Amino acid sequence: MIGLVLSVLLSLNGVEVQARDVPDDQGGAVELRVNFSRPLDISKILIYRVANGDTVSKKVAELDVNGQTKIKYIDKHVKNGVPVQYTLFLISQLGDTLGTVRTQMVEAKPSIFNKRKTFLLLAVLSYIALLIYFMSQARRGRELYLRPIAGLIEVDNAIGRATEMGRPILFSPGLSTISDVATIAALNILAYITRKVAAYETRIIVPVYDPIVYTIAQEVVKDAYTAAGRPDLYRAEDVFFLTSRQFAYAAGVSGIMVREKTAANFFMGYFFAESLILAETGASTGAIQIAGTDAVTQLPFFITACDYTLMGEELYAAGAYLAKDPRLTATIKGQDVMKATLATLLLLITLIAFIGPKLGLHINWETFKAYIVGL
Amino acid sequence: MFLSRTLPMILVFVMGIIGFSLYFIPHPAARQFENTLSQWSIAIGSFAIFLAITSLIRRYINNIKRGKDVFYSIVALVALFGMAGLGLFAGIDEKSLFQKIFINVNVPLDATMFSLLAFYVTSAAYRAFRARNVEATLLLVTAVVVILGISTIGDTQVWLRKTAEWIMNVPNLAQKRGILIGVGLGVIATSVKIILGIERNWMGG
Amino acid sequence: MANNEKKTTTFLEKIGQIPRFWIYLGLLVILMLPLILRIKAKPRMGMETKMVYDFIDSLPPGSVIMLSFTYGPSARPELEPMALAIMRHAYMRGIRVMGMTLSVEGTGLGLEAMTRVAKEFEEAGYPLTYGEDWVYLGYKTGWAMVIRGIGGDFHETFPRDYYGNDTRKMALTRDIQNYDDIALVIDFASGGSPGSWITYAYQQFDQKVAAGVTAVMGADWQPYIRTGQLVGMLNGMKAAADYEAKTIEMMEKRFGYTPKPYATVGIVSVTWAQIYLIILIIIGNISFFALRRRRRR
Repeated sequence: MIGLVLSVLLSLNGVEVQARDVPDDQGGAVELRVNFSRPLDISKILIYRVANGDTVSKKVAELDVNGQTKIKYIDKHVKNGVPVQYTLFLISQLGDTLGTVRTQMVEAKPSIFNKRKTFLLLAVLSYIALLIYFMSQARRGRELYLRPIAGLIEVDNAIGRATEMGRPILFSPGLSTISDVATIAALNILAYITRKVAAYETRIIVPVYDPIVYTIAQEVVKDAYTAAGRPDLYRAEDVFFLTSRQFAYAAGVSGIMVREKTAANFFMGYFFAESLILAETGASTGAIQIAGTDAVTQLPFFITACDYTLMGEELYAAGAYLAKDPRLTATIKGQDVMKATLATLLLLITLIAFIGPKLGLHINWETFKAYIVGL
Repeated sequence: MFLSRTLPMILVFVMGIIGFSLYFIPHPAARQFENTLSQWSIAIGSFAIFLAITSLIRRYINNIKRGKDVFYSIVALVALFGMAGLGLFAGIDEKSLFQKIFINVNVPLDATMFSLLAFYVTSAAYRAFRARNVEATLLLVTAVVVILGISTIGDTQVWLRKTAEWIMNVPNLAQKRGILIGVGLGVIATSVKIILGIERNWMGG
Repeated sequence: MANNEKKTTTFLEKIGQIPRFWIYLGLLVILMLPLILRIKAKPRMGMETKMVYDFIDSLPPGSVIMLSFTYGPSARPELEPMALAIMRHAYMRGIRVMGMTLSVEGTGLGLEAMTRVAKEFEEAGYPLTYGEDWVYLGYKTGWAMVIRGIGGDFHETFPRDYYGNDTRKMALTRDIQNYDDIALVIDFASGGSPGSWITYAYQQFDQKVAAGVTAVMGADWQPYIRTGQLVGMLNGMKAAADYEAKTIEMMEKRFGYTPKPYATVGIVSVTWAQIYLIILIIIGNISFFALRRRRRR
């Protein structure tokens, strides 16, 4: 094993000390394990470290023993690539030094790959392979059935209603940044809605919370108008940065809904506690409201105050669903297959956890957690 | 075309793969590289603030020109330039005018907006919690038990507190994890689509 | 008789559609009353709050904890009393406190909370020394980079405190190299910052992390307590009141000094409002069933 230096030295009968480089880390750490094979009158262990070539050792820790038979300590202040040696002073209840134990030289090394994440890597790669398989199937023309999502069917109706009433549509892409998938999904939906809006010659107002999202939203809307063949209808001032403060944004958007009497409101993306303020104000103006978020705690608020709500991954699927691009919808199929696999695995593991011990099967859950979950 | 389409897609592909790999590499060099990337994104992001503020100013000036929401627009512009000016020229320490306005104007305004939630929650719960069918009745009973159980009433009624905690920690957590697993898979799928250049709406459709 | 029944039915139907204005007004009165009359509650600690309390209580005197004030003014009524109570508890146990914030809005609020508790101890006759018992580091931009930075080198991340003092020279911060020297980080948050602390401080550096969050966001962080990624959580006004009541009692016993209560008063409003909400739900359902019965007839 790379970087593993094991040293066992016994200068006191019944005490075993192991020092090794902590594996799968960024380096700079050495793990010390002390095992007492018989009860000793030890209350404290003083740990001193000396680097190769140095003459002065430095005290790194003082550990309470309290009757424990196994003690683990990680020294996180070791320089990478410099061999160090530890001396442990075993102190009795009365304060006398009962003995000293010295380890061999050990060297802290950084790892190139975190082996604890091997299973995770394999799992993610298999999932990606599955997604690519379904995408290639779709490209070959294989029809994939997708269940209808009520909220998305209603998008067209909401735009139609706003057009009939001659009132604008409001679209909020949430309060998160562009690095959030929910925001990207929201922008996908915005592109679709804007193309429809351009075709119907309706107005769309897009107040944005994040400056970077603002610049992208502006491009999305402009491109969508151009794609629909109506670049003349694009109004730059309707896609605007409002504020980066949560409740100021809620106040601003609420004001727009009330003053502009928007006929349809779309809240798509990641939302926080302001979700209900937005949705309730919109409901009080009588607008049709469609929300979509992966913020689990905000879902109940949207479900209560909006006409339709896209929950969790439905939001991500929306862009693919609306665009009707078979390659995009194919990934939804891949997600479902993976979900079924995970559900089966979870059931199996739960079953093993319950029945395993009765069948004499002993599972080390710590190792399971470390190498399967990667924690 | 190359600058607006091909180059961004190449960049996303390369950086996407690197970003993914970094998660599995604990080496300090990888951490350093990740930090550099974060610093770049902060620096690039700062430029977007200028664009954003320009859009804000343009919108309010247009409003004033068109005679629409003139009062609100003036308030917004005065607040924007006033606070920025105060912060830049008169300092932001504890006793500065900037801090005073922040504490005495911003804080109450923000708290007011947040407190609206209480009113909206009450009104929404009153309208929505109707025992229309079995599921709605279950929801209603669960809501009442949780509301009472986690409040001070639960301090004296231990069974109520225990039931509320069980509801929060078992069925509630289970559904939440279910949704989160779906969300996680969706995030990976969307990321793969972006990295492979199948999903392109993020660069304007 | 038939006429009477018709009238009753109409009334029952009507109460199912109380206009928003009256619902809001009723709530306003109910929220205001306990605040005006300063009615105080004597709450008992919930499980998640107790986990934080017990953890702090088990720390040896001289330990250092770090508070992150990652909230804005809107969440202040819920989160500030938590921070005040935790500081009181820490100081009474001889634990030293560092404060910092990852959000610009939290800068002034964090400073105010820390100075307020320092003032309370001064009034109680046990003055605390800045730089020894407490330090305020202020705002640092970079979010995750700051959290990671503390794990690497504390002094590099925070070379100076809020007032510009050198952190390598102050008694409290002099010996702090990284998370190894910080017993607990408590993030008071109105947003997603506990997630960053869990991802970077706990996952990468094994740092013990606790969270103090608004009730609206509380359910978001509950899963992390079960997995041990958070040592505990203070959830909303109830937790703030629980902790505050406990620390006020401790200060009264030890110093004969009563700090000004916030959450123990606020929680009465919250409880009354919760009862009001349940009454409204019941009224709504009575009306709903009355209407359904008539329709069936």
